[in-house]
Amino acid sequence: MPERPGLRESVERIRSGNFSSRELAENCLRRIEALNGKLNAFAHWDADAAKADIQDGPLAGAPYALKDNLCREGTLTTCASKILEGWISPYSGGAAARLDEAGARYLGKTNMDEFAMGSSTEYSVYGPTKNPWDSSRSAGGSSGGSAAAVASEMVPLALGTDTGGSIRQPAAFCGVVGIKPTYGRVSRSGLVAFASSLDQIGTLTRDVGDAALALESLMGQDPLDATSLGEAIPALQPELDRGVKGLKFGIPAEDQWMQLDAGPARVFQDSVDALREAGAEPVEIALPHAQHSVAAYYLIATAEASSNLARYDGLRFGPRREAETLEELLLANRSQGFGAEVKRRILLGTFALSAGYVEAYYQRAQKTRTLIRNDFQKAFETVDFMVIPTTPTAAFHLGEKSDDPLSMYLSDIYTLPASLAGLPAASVPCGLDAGLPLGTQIWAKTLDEAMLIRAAASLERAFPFGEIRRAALASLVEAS
Amino acid sequence: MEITDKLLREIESLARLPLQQDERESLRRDLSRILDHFESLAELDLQGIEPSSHVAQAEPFYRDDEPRPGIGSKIALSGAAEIEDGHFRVPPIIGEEEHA
Repeated sequence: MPERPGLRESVERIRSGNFSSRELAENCLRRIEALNGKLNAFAHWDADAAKADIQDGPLAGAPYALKDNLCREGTLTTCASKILEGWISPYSGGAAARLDEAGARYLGKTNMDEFAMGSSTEYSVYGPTKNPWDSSRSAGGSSGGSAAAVASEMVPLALGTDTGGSIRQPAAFCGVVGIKPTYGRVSRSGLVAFASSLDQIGTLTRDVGDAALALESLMGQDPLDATSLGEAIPALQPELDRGVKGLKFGIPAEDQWMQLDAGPARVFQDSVDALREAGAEPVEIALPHAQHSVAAYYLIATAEASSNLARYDGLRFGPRREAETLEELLLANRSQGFGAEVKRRILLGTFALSAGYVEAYYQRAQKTRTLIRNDFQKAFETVDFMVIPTTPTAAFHLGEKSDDPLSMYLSDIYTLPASLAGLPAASVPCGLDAGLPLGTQIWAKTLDEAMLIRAAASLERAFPFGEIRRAALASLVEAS
Repeated sequence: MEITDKLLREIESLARLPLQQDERESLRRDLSRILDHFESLAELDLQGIEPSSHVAQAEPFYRDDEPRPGIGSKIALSGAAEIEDGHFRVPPIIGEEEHA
């Protein structure tokens, strides 16, 4: 069977001369070619990616994929939208540039919800990504392609973007590790903007150690992103084995927004018990305003999106429709170029910002965001990190929510609070419900990625999920 | 919050995003339902609370104001559907009668 090790093992073996970087890339490309028809995880890829001679740097030629909203010079970047069909990035964004500088090998771009707007990777011009655990179910979204690609071993590292949970939720649905660092830790230069005060690039990997290695290369200030942070980057790999003995962790107090079905409740309780057994002390924490996260988030994110997506006029990017006048051209390009969910969000955001409604909607949402941030500030006076389920349920069926946008939005409730507060957050696979993976989230203080990795690694030690994933997806493994 | 057909048309106009007739009714219902749910924010006492427009940890930093190589207009224009003499080409924006 062709070998496709995870990121750290790949780097170690390439360095020691035990494995060639090109052979690994060839194995990954074969895997993509064999499985993509079934999973639709990749939107497009470079069939010649194995030809380049790359083996130096901290990532030593190990392969990676980008979500289709991340620019890399000379590659298609379409945001899974008709309005950007055929658009080639003229430059590399900060994240791709850093991975390339670290010696990683680019393979291709992964499928996503159009402009990262969605929680299921169903709103894509390429069609939906299928969950590798059950192809009738969603891989999550909007970074569903990245999560499915990592779970099915097409690639050991895929970048995603997380505006309201778009890395963590698909990671949970596909049984992999998803990490969103603190807002500003990874440059947003070259990330096609959705909601600028929330967007953050992060990693999808098979385990926490692989994420730590990749994030050490990815994080850091970039002169091309004025919101990127200059604070020192912590060494993350030393945190993997430190354990959580003596630490305090918050668990959300019983509340109406924390009502879980029996399966997810059991998996979450197992996570809490595992951390307690590892020597950490649970403390119940009230987050009185977190229940308002869905309303606050969807008003703020759509308002920002309505402004960011004003640039798509058909003149500067993508294909152009026929029209007699400039105004008609603009309207035709937008009306025919955007899909249904993007239209819904642009219109919702435009409403939230419009005269007569801006105080009651957008500004209320911004003030609610302040209350949620204050809740966290208070919580982190008592605890070192917090845990919370990633999703209320395991992966839902394709088609189950795609015609009911409100129900799709409500399913994001557990990932949104950390997004609104800009906190670093991780989802770690922690159990199965009826044969499908579930994730537990870690939330840490702003800038405390070290604690995030430390706690996530402890949780992972209690639930060594790699073997479970490999056994469950064995039929996929046999396919290539 | 009931989004009427009239209000929806105003929003479409503000957003420069005209809907097809067959999209309009379902979208109108979706938006009304979503906004009904978001009415929960009206329960909160927000008196004296400052709005958060961002969560940045520090003031934005500025790079040195020094010239450096850019990508050049040829590459910058490469994604456009129509260009002419180093510019984006658009349909006429001045009416025929004004041409005369």
